[in-house]
Amino acid sequence: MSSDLNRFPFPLEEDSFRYTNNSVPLEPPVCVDVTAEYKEEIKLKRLLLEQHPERCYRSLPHTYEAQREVVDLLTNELSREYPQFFTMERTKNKTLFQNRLTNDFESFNRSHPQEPLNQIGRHVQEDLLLLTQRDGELYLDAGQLCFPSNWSLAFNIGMAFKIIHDPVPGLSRSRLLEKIRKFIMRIEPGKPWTRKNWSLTVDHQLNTPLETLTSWGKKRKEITSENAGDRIHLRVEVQKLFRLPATNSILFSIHTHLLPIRRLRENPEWLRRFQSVLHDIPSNVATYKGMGTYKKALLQYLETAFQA
Amino acid sequence: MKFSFVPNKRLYLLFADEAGLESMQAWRDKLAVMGLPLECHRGEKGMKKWLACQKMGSYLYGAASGEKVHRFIQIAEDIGFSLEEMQWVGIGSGNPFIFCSKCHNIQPITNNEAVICKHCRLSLSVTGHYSAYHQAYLGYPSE
Repeated sequence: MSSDLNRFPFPLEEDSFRYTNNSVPLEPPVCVDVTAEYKEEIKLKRLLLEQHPERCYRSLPHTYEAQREVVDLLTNELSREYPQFFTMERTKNKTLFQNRLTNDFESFNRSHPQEPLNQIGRHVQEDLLLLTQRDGELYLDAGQLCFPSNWSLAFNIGMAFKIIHDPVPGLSRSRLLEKIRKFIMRIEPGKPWTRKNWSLTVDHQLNTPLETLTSWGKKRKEITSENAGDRIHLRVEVQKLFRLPATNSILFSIHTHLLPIRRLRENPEWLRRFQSVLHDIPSNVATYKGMGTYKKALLQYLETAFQA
Repeated sequence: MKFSFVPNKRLYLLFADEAGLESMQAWRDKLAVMGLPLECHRGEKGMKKWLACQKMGSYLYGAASGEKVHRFIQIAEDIGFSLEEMQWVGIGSGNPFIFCSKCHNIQPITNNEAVICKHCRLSLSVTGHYSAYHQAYLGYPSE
């Protein structure tokens, strides 16, 4: 396998489809991952934040201290894990941060015009969401979200964890969702967890927000068994959950990876497993994941790929 | 839509604009009979200052015109009231609201089928996904 395929986080561990809490302890306990796509993705992220701030960043006022905890966590990590790219110096009132990949100097302090989460998010490829825990419930109370998979931060802001999952078929009212919610609420500081979530998307497009569904969603109808391998991409979100000790909030980070389906041919086991799961996936889930329109064409493509 | 009583609060704050006065009057009378500590404020003028000086443990009831209620909720949120510390009723249209997934405009739902967004003209289907923060249902593109 080529090196980029070697580092692709292939998400399927079984031959059938089912919802699971597939979280595992995060080892090493590091939130951010700087990949070969860093410069390209940061450039896109900053462009989206500039052009669409209302859909890419939202926060409620009580999250400010938790946001500062995120800055402390990420600046520590970046300078420790990637000292060749990032340096950090902390004083009583501010954190001075240098990003050599973008040639930026940042001062994180209380008088900065951008909120801390919005400021640090411009230096990492991950989308960053903050969940506040209060009255026995988790709420999505802040987020910088540039690469969503067909959902709207603007609509979901302030929403309880269970309500956020209302649209997910077969999960919203299940016992599993309640188990996952309780699992997140028990996460301890210093013991982060990670999981992978997957869907399919047309073309190499990271930013697929609900706000522009009418534009990118049209492409689904253009898929045929001839172009499916090149145009359909496996979209994998590596999600990580960190408890922030001072505010008891949860940092939920999402690093999104894309791989054209034709590349699965380079790993026959991945190709076989993907085909098996695609056969097994319930139609309502296929529709929710956006693949209902082209599932048949994709399966035809996979049959051909197997015979090749 | 009616208020529900939340017991054991330090102080009950009652806010109403012109459209919400009648509803709030009836609710105030009910709470007063129970001998609860009440404080009232009428109209947007001075609202922020009034809310900002309240102590922890206060609970806010608000009644306002349907078009303004969302803005008032955001003002209360900005001051530090969480959604668990307040209840609001929208007066006027009597209809639930829809949130446009494209432009974020919020408007009353006038029928149960497709709705045209007044701001971006997108045809929207009313989903069952409800936001207590926006007090509106998600409108999904129906085209």
